[in-house]
Amino acid sequence: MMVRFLLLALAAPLVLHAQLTMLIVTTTPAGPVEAPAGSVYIFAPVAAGDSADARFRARNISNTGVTITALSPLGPPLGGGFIVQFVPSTPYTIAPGNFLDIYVHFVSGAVGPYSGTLQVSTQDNTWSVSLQASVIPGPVVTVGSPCTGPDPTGAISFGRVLVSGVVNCTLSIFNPNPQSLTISPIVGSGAAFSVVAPPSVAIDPGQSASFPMTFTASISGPAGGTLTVGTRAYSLTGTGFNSPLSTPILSFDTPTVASNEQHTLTIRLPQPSPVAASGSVNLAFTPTVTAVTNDTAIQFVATSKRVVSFTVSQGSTAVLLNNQAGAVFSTGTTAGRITFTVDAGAFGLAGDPTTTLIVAPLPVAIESASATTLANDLNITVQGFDNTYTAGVMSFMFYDRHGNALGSAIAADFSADFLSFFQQYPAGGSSFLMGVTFPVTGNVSTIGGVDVTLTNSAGLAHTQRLNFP
Amino acid sequence: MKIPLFFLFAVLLCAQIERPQLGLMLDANGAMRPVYGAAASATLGDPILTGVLSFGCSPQICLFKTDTAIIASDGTSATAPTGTAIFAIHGASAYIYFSDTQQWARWRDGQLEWIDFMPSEAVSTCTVMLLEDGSLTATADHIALVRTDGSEFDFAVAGVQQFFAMGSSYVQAVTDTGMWILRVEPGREEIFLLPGISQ
Repeated sequence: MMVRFLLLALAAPLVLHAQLTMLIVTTTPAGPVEAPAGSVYIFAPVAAGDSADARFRARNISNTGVTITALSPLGPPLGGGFIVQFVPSTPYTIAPGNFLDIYVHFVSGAVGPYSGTLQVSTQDNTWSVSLQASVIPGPVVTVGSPCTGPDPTGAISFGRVLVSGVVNCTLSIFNPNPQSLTISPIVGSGAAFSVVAPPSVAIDPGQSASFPMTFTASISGPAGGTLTVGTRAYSLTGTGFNSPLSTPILSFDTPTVASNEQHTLTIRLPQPSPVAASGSVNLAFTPTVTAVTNDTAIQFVATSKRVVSFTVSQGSTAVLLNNQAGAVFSTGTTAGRITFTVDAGAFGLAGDPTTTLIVAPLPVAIESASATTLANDLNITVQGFDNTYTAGVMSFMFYDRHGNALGSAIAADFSADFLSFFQQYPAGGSSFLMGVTFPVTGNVSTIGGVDVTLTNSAGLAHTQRLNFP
Repeated sequence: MKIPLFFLFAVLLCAQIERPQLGLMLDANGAMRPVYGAAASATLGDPILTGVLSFGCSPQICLFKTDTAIIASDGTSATAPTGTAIFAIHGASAYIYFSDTQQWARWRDGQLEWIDFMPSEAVSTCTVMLLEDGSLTATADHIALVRTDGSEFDFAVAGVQQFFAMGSSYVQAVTDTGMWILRVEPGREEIFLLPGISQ
């Protein structure tokens, strides 16, 4: 919350050994403005439950570095008080011509006066400023539906309404204090907003006062304003929109999708758009496996992003995605849900067109496989992906040059190796290139081929017979 | 089935598992990037070389054409005519056509060997790439893959301007609106969009 403060310049600008000059910084629409800091700083009255901030600046005006050796108070201020925030640990050296901003945060406690001291110490000196604040009884501000807020940032929203429409809601001010509370002013600013309230109102303990507030959407788009209730300021927002677009229909080039595919999303409106409109289509992915939380390959491919802009002309039902008739997206190599949402912003939608595609778990997909010999080693390579991230168990059935099986299949479990590999690239998908080597005692040339079976949680996958050269 | 006595497997070695690299691609900003994963779900690595105009890769070597040089992946390089180049690469050597200057050269053992060939009329090139067992040809609205056994495959990708050999099994096709990866391995012919970077 914006809190105005008063600065009493009771002394000339404080200068430490002609090395540091201490300033107070205020934020204006034109940017930060520096002014000499005095020896006393008085915060504007703070309502109970609120806080206030002041920004001091230690500027090094010497030709050598100045080292800040201590800053206080470092808090926390139990029961209310002052604390220095967002400062580096000391010792901290300010280069010639540079500065250090020191933020003093006041946390309100019980109603009454508060005092403290900001101290900035260098190797040679200590600079002090007396901090003073007072906590006054504060009201509890609420708004009635359809308004929402105020949120922790002090924002009150009137939501969205058709252009020329009006949103009415009620501002309630409750006095939780044991004494009567006089609130002044109660006023709204911003051309689209109005608050009907007297300049000042007294509220008895435990009682409330209510006033009507109005947002009038005269144009399409967001509008902003400010509501001032005594020492507090709240931001007011509301959005006007034209007749909403009819609920878009999202279509795909196939009714079902699987991993490692690319498909095209197209969108059309069931009724012609009342205006030329634009917005975005967002893609989100939620894995149904526990091993990973994302798969970065799942995206609109041409732009490598999970959002694509859309435009539609007035009177048209055709929606262009990135100025194209459709947008190609990849399904990645992870089982899960791909969800598309449409955000028309201020134009609004008549309904929610959110659409979800399911990428089902599959047995290991084998992209390629080969078998080679090197000296007395048999080398088997398999490239593929496992959208369940559970691969590892496999078996190898060897055959002689005549196609006769050589004994029974050899089982192996590389689950730990796969898990370790997948953890190296936690959002990189499940594609893998695996090499397995079998040392052989005897005449390796008698071995003609091998069948490899890979197992994951979705089932079995088999290579075609891999022949050794 | 009786197991021959001479056929004894020792203990299995650990499986070596790594990210599959499909090859290299030239992105829209002239950066060479490794392409990982599977063709329809490819991800791109960080640039390994920038300022590249064209390139070609075989399983043994990659050659990159910058504005004024040929740079090989084995660390060798040579000064070259300005502008782009077209590569016909085989093994560790390649024939290179410098289209701006209409010069021909052979890359061998880290050096350019100039070929004394100057056609009487200007060479008119279209987008073609020779493969080990066939060729790729781009027309206005599609890519034709023709193999020496007579088989043909058509891919409906319009406006291909360049082909680059990404590695042993993949070719990059460049259009105004996107980068494509074409799998040319027999029996696995398919084409997908490559991820775009700052287009």
